[in-house]
Amino acid sequence: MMLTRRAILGACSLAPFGLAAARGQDLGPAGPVARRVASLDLLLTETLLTLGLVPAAVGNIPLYQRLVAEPELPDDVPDLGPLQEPNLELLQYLRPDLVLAPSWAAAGQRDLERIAPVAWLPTFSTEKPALDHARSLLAQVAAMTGRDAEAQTWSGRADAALAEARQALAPFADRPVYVVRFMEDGRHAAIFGGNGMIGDVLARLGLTNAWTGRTNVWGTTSIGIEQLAGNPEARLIHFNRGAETDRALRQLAGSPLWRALPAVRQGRVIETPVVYPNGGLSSAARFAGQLAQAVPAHEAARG
Amino acid sequence: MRPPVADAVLSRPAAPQRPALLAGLVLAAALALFLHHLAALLPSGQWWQALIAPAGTDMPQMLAHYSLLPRLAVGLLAGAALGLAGVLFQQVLRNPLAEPGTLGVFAGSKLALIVATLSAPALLDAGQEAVAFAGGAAAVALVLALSWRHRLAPIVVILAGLVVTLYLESGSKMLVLFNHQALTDVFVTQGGSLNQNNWGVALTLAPWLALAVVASLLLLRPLTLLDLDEEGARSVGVSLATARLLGIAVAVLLSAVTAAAAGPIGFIGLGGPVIARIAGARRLRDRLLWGPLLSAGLLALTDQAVQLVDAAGAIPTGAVTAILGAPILLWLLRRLRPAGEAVRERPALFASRQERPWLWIGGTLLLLGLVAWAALAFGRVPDGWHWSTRGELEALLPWRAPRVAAALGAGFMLAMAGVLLQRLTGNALASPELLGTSSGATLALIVAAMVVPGLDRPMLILVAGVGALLALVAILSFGRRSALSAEHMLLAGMALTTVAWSFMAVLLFSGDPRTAILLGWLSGSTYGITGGDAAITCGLAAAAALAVPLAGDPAARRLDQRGAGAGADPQPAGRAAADRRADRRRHADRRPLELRRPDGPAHRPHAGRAAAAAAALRRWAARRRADGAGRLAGPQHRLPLAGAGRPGRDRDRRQLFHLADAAAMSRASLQQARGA
Repeated sequence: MMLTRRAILGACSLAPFGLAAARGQDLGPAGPVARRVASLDLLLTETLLTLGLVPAAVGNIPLYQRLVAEPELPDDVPDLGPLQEPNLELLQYLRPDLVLAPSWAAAGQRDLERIAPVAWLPTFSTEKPALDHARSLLAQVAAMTGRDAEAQTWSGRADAALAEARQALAPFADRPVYVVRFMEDGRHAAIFGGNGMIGDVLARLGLTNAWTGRTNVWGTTSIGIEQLAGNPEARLIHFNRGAETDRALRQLAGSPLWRALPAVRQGRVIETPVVYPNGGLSSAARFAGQLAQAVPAHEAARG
Repeated sequence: MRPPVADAVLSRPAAPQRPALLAGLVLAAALALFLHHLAALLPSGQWWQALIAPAGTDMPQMLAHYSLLPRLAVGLLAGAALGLAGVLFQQVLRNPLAEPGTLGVFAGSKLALIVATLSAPALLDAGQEAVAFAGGAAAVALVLALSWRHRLAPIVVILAGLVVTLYLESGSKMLVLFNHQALTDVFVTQGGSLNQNNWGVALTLAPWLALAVVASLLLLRPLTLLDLDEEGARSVGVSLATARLLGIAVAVLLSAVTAAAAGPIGFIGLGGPVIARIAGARRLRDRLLWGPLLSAGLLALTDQAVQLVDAAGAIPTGAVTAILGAPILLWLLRRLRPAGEAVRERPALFASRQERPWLWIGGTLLLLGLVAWAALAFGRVPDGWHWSTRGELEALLPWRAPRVAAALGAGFMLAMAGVLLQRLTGNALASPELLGTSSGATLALIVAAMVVPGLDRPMLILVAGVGALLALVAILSFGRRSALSAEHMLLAGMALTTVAWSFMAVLLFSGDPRTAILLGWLSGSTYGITGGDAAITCGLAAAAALAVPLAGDPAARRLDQRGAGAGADPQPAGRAAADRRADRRRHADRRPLELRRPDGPAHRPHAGRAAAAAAALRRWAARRRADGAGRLAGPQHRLPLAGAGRPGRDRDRRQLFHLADAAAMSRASLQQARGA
């Protein structure tokens, strides 16, 4: 009887229990090189794609395309569904040999270890600046997937992009900057600072962050628009998310206080395409490049 | 004669000047704080200019004129609007529990915004307010439609409100669970923060409030007559139905507008009117005056205090009012006593029996088996939806079986808890979620997750258990004071629930992605259940199933002692029992869990236990219809919630149990469906 069942199991496309034997296997830098890697976090997906490795499966693809977008995710990558509750049956069927997941979600997702070895990786750091953390994360993932060379290349490329942007922005370092994403209600904004990716990039570009208030571990917090009056000298850089941002700007246009903000009155509001604020080296390089392009262009247009 | 659900009788004589004094104090404190903020921004010499015509280039003046001032105005206006809506609801529905929040307005607004954001963002082009208004109004309309056939009987409306709120909140939680990162904007809007950058919100609220005030004044006479009984009111020539309908329409409009403009603001609509009433405003015209004024003062004061403590605006005011308001309300409740008769009426739960209980139980078990099989075998594999068999099923079982088993075990224990709570409190509506026991667990989990992140599951179960136990003890000890009055316990439970949701709102407002984990727990997802968890759950369920019948039904046993001493009581009826009875009478006031003997027909031994098991099975199977609900409310028995009930209204109540059970079952079947 058991034999027949085994035969059926083998014939059917779903993975047998046997895979669960991989549980608990230590996957340090010296471990085997993983080729079929699934990712359950936007930053980790970005990191994989940065290394040039197409993931075997990814959680919440629409969200990746909306928030991160670059590096581009090929169309044929299977979607595992919600990041916090990925479809384990599908994942089992896809037979990954490594799963990357954020360590903060480990408590609720221990089941993943029954499918494949799981690398629980810290996706934020409370001590290190975000880019240092992203760099070590890239190195970690590269070691697991045998792509150390790509990691080296990308590390260098990010440094170069930052250096280039810093040079382009040097004439504009006189003014501090707010970096925000306006909420649809036209009353609130998400503002970026601290040691988060956005805040860290600003620091590395030699720009002063006008927001010095508290942020969460991802370097962001929700504020009321009126808080933007705090620094009258600042440039105001905001992320354009399309329809949401249009709605927010329409609401804001009706606000006398918004129109009176020094940055608005004196034409220092600069729009830039949205980047993933919790992203890694690729997002950071893209953000730096966008700033280096948008700020001088804006200033040139003002004359 | 139809007395109100709980005519809050004062424990001390009325003092007409006290509400005015209280309202004055609160408003003065709010104003003082406002002036403090203003002084921090501007020298007093510029105040007048900032107020009338601020210089467009002078940022402090602009901030004073377009941020500080409208924020105070919105606090006052939204507070007054919620207070007025509260007073109207309470008068028209004759129920001190009624307020926008308890009637589903906030839950409706939130769900509408979430659905619009996810699936029809074009709807938001006209602003979030329209969508939020539609959602809030639709939720109350649903509540009223559900209770329409019962001519908006107070008890029906309030329960329909609770059920609709629970239902809509479950929908929101589920959508949030799957779309957490896409909904950050909604969380911020729905956090209930009152910050302003123009006069728009204040100017939206003001005309509606003015209109509502005028309408209330016009309705003052007929609404006052609602205090009379129905025949009396008709005899003075007032169409009661019209007056109530108009009153409700005004209150619904007002609360939906406020929810849309200012977000959910907990307890203000309840707090102002309750405080006014306790302070001595008894007549409707007094309550209509002082209730809204107190609400306005309370909201403005809280908001100004929030600005003082948290200058960066990271804490939404609406959540703070709920968190602060709940304990104050609980404290105030101790000074309210319910209408006298309501306390004495104890229902004999489960006293009427089905003709053939085993037929029902057998049928239910069969259905349960089918449902469990479907949950295990039917699902989506990479090729699409289909029934899995044999080897395929075997490969899937390790994923599906623990979730189904855990859902069954959890459902069983919830039903058990419901049965026990119902018998302990003598309240046929008592259930873990309505009494706040579940919220106690939730609250403990949230606090634990924030203070010591990364706890493992056994620890979390322990934390949740401690939280639930504390909540239960608190509610019961609270109920003891009011002899387990159903209104008081429901109100206290609702307070805990609101506090738990408010903590959640603060966390979501902060934009921390880790909140998603908490959301998973809170929405009752069975995801991540391991075989071990399922074993623990089923083990506990089995232990409970064994322990409870072994321990016997305390209520039933106590009741049996009077008669021939039959049943579970090993001691014969005799001196010992008589002594205990005397003892019980002596200590009756100190023993809150004592169930008094029902006035109904003789209670049958074991009826309680058999019915308890039957009820557990019924819910366990997540059946669609609550066929047995009638058993809960036999026509000859009276329910405590309804006060002095009339036999003719018992049909209404049965209907309610269908509602309440249907909600519980939809949740259970949801869990099972997710297990699939």
